[in-house]
Amino acid sequence: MMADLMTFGRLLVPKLRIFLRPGRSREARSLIRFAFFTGLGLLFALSMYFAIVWFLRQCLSVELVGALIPKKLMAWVLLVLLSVLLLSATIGSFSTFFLSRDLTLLVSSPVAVGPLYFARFVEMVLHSSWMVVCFGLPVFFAYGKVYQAQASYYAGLAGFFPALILLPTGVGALVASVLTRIFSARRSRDLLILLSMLGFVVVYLMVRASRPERLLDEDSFGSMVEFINMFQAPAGGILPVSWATETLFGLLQGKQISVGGPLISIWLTVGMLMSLNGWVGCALYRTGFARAQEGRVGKSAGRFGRKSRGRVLGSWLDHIGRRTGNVHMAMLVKDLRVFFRDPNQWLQLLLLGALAGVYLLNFGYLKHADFNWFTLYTVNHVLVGLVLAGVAVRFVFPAVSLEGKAYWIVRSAPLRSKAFLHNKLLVHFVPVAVLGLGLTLMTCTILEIHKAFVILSVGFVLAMSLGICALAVGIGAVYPRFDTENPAKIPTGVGGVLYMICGCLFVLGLLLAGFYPTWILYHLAGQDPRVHMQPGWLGLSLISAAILVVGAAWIPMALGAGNLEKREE
Amino acid sequence: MIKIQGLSKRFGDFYALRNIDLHVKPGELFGFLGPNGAGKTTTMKIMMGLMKPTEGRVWLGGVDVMKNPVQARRMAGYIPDRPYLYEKLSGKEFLSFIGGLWGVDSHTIRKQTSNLMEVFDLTAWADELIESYSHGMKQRLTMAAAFLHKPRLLVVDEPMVGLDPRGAKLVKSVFRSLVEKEAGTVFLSTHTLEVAEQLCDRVAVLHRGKIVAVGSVEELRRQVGDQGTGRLEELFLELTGGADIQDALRMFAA
Repeated sequence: MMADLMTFGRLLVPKLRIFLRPGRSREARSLIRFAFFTGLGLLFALSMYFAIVWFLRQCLSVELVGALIPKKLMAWVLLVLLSVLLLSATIGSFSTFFLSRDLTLLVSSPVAVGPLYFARFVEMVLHSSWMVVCFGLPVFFAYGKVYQAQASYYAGLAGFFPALILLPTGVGALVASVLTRIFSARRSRDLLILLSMLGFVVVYLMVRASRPERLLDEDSFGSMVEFINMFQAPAGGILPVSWATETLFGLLQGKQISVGGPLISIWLTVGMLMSLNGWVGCALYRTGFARAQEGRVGKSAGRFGRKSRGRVLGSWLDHIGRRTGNVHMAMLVKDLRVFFRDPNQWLQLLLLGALAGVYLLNFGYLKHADFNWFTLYTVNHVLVGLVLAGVAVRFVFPAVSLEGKAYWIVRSAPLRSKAFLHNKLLVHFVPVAVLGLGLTLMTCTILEIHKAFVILSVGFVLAMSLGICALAVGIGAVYPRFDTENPAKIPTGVGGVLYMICGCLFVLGLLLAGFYPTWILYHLAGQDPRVHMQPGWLGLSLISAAILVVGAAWIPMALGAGNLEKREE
Repeated sequence: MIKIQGLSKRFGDFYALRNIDLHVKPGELFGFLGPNGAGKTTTMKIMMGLMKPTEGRVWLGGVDVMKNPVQARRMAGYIPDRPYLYEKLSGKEFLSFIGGLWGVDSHTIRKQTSNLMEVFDLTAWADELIESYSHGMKQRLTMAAAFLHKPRLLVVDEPMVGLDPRGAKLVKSVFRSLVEKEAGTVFLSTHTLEVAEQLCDRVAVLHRGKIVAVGSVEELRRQVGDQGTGRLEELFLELTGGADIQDALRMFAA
């Protein structure tokens, strides 16, 4: 037992060292990076804290029903946090337990399965839960502030919170172990990502279609009793979330309640789950790891190999591919093939579809609200711009990094970095512009807007798409992450954050710069005698908009190309 | 074909290359030898424009690599020691992509793809995704890609790593064929001294960033005063300080 504990500790030491001691040459950069992300994280956590404090105070100020909302909200927050954690832990378990590269060395060494399994479990828990801890705790601190909670509330929180983290992560590790016994780890992970994305899309559309904003309007309910009943419905008395909510809310209100019972129940559940992990997880581990190695290269023996023919878009791309001999066409065909053969990438299109659906649904509702059409028209430009910036950070920003370790091929080819980036820009500009135009034209149709404004919108969206894509490709090339295995991780670095800031500023700047022509057209169309077009203002507006677009398109692309040229492989 | 003049490369305080001068003639199969960390890969990466030198210049076929990297790369094919490829492409699609990058016309791409797949024993795997290839197959595919645009110069880093004896024999024949039948130039680095001895017209030995010997194997023997028919391994150890191996062995035994 003691020996196992020592091994468990030894297995964690290298991970701790890697975390605490960044590479010497990158130390200064790592510190800046650490400070930047810590600052950003703190800012986000503080914003969340103050927003929740404000929201709870607003709720409590509503007579009769206001006091019911915070408790329900706490249960929902816990449920959402735990669901996110369960999903993240299950997906993370495949990588940490079965696919991590250092495992070959560890599994081939005479290390017992138990310490190895639990060392990986600790690593997975830390990876999966840090975000939930950082962004979940401010919510509970906000409750404490609003209800002026006593020390017992915080002590209760300290008792429940770690257990609430260990429960979903423990379940996640078990699910991954069992799935890996049935399928391969890589296939299971892809399948789970697909199912979770589909689930998210369905739930998101359902929530949106149910119009939760009606909760703020008591007229939406048949009676006050119906409204109150909805908030008093139990959240499932035997669930750990319910134990935690009931106890924490009781402590928050300073009630004399028994904390020991729920606390013992939840920790006993954790204990049972850990035993189950030790029993089932450890027993399945070696077989699961062996299967994961087979899955790493597919069933690669000759005739069982993964054929590229007959796949999505295969024949069409083969047809285009035959016409290669052109650098841009070759890059386009390669990018499309790689995109549609990697489920981690193309599955994100589902989210994109859901986003577009919800966006149009919302505009349908807004049309019936008391807003001037010109206000909605202007807001639409801002929102489309922000949606495109969000889409670009997911799909366009990683374009350069996705070349991965195979980037040496492009680098050793007779191709300038500038031409490589222009190709990436062209490949991504078209779909982004099509999405932007689609959203804009559909919203213009919903709002029944005059053709002249539609043409103006088209101009705006094309200029915005160009700037947004160039910023994403350019900044993506300034901060490439060729070593990242998971494409979803690429936008989460400094470059991704910087791009989002620049992208949003560009969208707002462009709309501000180009507002005058829209505004004057609106007044002239309304034949307002008080408004006359000022050619000076019009010229200034158009010139500043043009400068912004050219600047956004040229500067990051030039910086990106320069960085790639300087880069040493 | 290759001219390297006063080439130095510094990483912080560490000199990976110090003032290297080298001249490789057209139609020559040139071996670049040296122990681990001697600077072989760095030199090759600078030749292909993947790294910038701290000082010095490199010309490929008379074209300055630093001034005209695109033109220089157009005439060369590069095979790195680790074959990182696009895993989600099939072998055939990969070669088609490479042809596109070098501006080869589609007819030639199709013809060359078929030939090279045959030569490198990959025809049965042509439509499989690269992710299912073994290391040796990936290495052979990288070589096929380097030959696709019919380069005048081939820069090869450790060609035998991961190849089975059949693959190694094939590769040796292909390199010799490029030099003898098509008057191409091959610049290869290797740890397999046997390969250098069998294949190379001339070799250079790099040690701690400096060239310590250049010439044919016979000329090297004369340089170190070896009159007999000693193997290249002994010469190599003599040139790169192999005496410490005995000390290491003693420590290992202890």
